[in-house]
Amino acid sequence: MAAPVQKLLIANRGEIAVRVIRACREMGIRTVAVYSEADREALHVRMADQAFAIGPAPSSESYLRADKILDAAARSGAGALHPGYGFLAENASFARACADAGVIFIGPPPEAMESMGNKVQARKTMVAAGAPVIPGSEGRVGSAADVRSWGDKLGYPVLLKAESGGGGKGMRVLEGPDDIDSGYRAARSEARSSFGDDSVYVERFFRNPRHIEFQILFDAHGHGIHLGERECSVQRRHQKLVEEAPSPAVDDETRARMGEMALTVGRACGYVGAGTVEFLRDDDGKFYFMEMNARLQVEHPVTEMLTGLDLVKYQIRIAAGEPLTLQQSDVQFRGHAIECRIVAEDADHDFMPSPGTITSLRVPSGPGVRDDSSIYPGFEMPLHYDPMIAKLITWGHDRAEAIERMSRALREYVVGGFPTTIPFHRRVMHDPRFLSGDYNTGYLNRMPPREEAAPEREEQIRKVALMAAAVATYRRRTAGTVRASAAGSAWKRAARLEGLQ
Amino acid sequence: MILTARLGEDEFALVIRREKDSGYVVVIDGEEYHLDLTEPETNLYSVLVGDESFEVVVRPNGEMVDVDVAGRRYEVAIEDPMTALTRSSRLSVDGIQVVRSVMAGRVLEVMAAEGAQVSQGDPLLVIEAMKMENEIRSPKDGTITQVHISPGQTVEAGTDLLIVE
Repeated sequence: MAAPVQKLLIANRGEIAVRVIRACREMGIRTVAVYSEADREALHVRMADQAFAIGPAPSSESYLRADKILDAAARSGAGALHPGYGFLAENASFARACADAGVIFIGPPPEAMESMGNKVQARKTMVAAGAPVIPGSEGRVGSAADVRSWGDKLGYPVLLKAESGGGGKGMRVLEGPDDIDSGYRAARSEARSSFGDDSVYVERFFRNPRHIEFQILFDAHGHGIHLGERECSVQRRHQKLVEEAPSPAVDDETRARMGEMALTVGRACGYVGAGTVEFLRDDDGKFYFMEMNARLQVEHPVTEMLTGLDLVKYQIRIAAGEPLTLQQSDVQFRGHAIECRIVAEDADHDFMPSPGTITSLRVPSGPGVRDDSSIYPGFEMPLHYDPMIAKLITWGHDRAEAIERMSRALREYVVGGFPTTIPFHRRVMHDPRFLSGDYNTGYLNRMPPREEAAPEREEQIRKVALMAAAVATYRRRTAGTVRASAAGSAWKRAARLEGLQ
Repeated sequence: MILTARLGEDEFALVIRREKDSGYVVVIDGEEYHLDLTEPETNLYSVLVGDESFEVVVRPNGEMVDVDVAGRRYEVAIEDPMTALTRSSRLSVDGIQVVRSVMAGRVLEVMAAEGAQVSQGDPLLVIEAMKMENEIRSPKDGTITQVHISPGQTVEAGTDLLIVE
């Protein structure tokens, strides 16, 4: 069964498509890109061996079109397909369609995806497997009185959640018994209008837990290992911005215990491939199962830097049926790794999207630095897709060095043309709260402070900014023709000419 | 060239002159700086102030210029002095307007006389700074009630020049 993959289609775009192509190149696998009309000049198209156009820019008409993608697979003769993350990565019916078309889908079996996709189902599987789930009502609640008795039992605050929910819809935090009537009504009506199902259940609510996830790797023969955890608590509106490994909150004993728990979760759902088990960790250090991500994560490089293992290569080998020869004792965690997601957003203006064209670009390098991106000078940020433009990852022999390297690399990183989150990330890397390692998902309730040097130095930098802005304006105005003058007195013209020299 | 720059709450008067090649002289509120500035990549400047090296990314953004330098981001509004003057006068064009100098320089000529009727935008006086002449105009329609300066006099940024009522 273990016929090596000869040609692989990447059903994705951007940095993850480039990342997969890199692994294929090293393995001697030929690569097939697919691209929308907005991505004709994209790096993944240029780097791949073959490329197929699959439709207009909106992803619903291109990267989400299973039919067009499978058509490209058939025409190219690709024997395997890597979905990346997002788009069709966790779509069980797409995974089935690939199998039907005789194309190896690089991901878990569709059944494993489905058993983790439904929240209540996943919860039941986890309880059966003995995994710690967030204490709650197990099933739907039938009345406000039910909610009240659960509230009394669990202790406030509690969270009402839609059974068929997702994306924060149909969710209400109840701070105390007074919130029950309005919260129960609101959660149900929101659930009904969003999902056509008004059943809700109750869970204990953790205000600012830590978000810690474990990477697992299972082959198709039932052998699995974990690759340690990633700390992902620097989030904004549930979007991760910074990830690091190891977690400052996880010691060796906890890692071994929770890693084993993650493997139990994987086994319970018949997992194959690379997956991630997400946990909440409360202030008392207790872990609760949150969900399982049946895909390669955006932040997988952090684990790769720490373990020296190439997760994409393992995904491909496992999908081809190869047994995983690594044992748990082979996995060594060395040093510390951090990832910053560089996004085309202006952190100074409430993370407003800031599309544009890259006028100048310098990608950092040097010791311990990895940049996973798909940008280039002249790159035009497409409006149709995720605004992440790069992932910057650094490794150090300890956490302090990884942070210093990140700070240094961010300083080197030049993306001219539109605001990015590079300055924001620098602030995080200098923030005592982040440096202490003692932070949770409430971290960004407060913005990290601006970098402050000695007052004289700050004043000097400010002056340089002022002068640069002024000289830029001067150069722009004097570069072309002299601007038309409203009142054209002779001395004014002379003054202008003199200014021009 | 004379420009007004706003950065946060602060407003600065800048005089810019190109010396030669990549050399520029910038006077900020009367203090003179010599800088060497080149643009090796579009909108990316290498700036030497004395022997200190700065790399600056400049992003024109409407009326603003976004500047990234040394890990900091600044948003600088650059205006012509007249625009700055009119902008501030629009806020209280009805009252007594004290016209102040936006730059340090020497008064070359005073066209406004006490008691004269002026319209908004009428030239009132000329100030020379950095070998460039700059016309100061009336912020509003009204009467010149006081003139504090005379030709040949040197003024600082912020010096009261005259009053229009």
